[in-house]
Amino acid sequence: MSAQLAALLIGAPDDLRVWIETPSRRNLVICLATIVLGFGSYGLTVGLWRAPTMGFYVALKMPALIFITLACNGLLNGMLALLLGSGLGFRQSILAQLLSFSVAALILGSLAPVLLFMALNAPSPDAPNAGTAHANYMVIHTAIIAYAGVIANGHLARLLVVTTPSKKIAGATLVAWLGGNAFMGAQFSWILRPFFGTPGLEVAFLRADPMRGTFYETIWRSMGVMTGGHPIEGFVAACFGLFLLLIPLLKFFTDPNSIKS
Amino acid sequence: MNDQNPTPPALPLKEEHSTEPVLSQKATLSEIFECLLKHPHSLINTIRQNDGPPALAAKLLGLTFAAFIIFGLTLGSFSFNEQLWAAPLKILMGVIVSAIICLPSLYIFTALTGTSLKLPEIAQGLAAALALIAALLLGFTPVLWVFSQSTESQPFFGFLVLAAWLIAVGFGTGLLMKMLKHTQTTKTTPLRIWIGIFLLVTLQMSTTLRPIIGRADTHFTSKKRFFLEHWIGEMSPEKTPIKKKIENDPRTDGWQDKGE
Repeated sequence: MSAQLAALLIGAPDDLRVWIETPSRRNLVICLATIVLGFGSYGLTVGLWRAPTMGFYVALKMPALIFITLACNGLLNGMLALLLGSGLGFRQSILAQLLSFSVAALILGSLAPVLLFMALNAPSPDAPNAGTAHANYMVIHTAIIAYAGVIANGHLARLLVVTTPSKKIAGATLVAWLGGNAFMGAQFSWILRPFFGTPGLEVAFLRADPMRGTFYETIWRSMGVMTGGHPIEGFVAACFGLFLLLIPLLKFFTDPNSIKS
Repeated sequence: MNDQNPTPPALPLKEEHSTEPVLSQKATLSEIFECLLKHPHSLINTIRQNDGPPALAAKLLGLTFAAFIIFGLTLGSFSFNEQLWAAPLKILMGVIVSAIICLPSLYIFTALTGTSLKLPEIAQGLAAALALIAALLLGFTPVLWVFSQSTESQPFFGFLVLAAWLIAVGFGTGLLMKMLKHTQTTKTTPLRIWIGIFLLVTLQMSTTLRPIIGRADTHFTSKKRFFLEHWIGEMSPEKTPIKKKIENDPRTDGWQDKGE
């Protein structure tokens, strides 16, 4: 099993291809277990700063977030992969995305001890500077999640390049999956909130009436506040930031020397 | 013309496409669904070689109706009440009417490309395109349902539905393009223009049949509006941006942020 996880992390395209082209129950179990343990242990450290109960809740919610997002988008992502000409069936599409999330889970899980140390050393939620600690905590975790996401999607991109007929199709499939999963993942993270646990608010598994409101409306309102009532300008700036994040991916798919032309 | 400068060969037939197996007359709905997604050229071959009764078209339409009813139910779940039955009916009616009024122009515009496709083949092609649109919208249904239960903003939900519709129509009409290319026609501009027309018709239909998202005092409105004018009006700050307030609905009491 450790050899398989190492192969997953190394992300050699031919090794990853075997996972997709000869799917086995064992590999599926490895992916599921990695996601549960990796995201679970990471989630524990995210919530632990607020309260041990919160840590337990987030340890359950983090893997749940991944599985709910994949379940919700599974049919759509499978259909898009087929329609874009990737040649990947529904099962292979799901497996490819599970592989990508497994890589992220391994990275996040490996950082869990460090983050646990950080949580134990941060000012407590009832300290006078709890607000600053909460903000710092969120920024650090956002950066870590972003890093894990970039690495995991890099693996997914390489996998798609070797399993699809052309780089163009691989790129289109990746963008379709990424867009859908990011869009729904953000909304599900809103529904499953709290994760960090705002100081001053009670510890809870879910907020009262979790389905009320959307992530995007909240972001829109926040942008309005941040920009003094000009959310459109804020939205344009956010799009530009997103574009900058996507530059490595664009380079990967336009570089003729990356894996295969 | 001598041996050194041979006559260029005629445009080669795409063998891998023309030899794809034809669907049997007894193909089940699930086989047709799979064929739509995985082997569109097999479906096109079936349409082109099918001289018998249009069993395939009937099955494609059955698939389309079922998927559009589920999609409509999802849109209706934004407001519940009478919209649970009104929205699916309106969606179904809108799609059928749009297809019927666009079929003659589809035949004319495809003829302009110089294709050898006949009217029954084009009609079946349109049925296949609608089935593909419906199948993709079915894929979007879980996504839209989550937002129908979360947001109270009609413009936001409307924007999501519009985005899903545009993506689905893009892929669905792509099947018509494949069908056209299957006949070795290289001139595709007329069909692209028709796709634009079809899109405009369906968007206007959504305005004509309003309200589909949200509620109103009547099932239909007699006020005639162009769809862009309607959308801009709905999004303007003067118009209430949230779901029409429904009496005794606790979800419309307003809400405030409760932390991340």
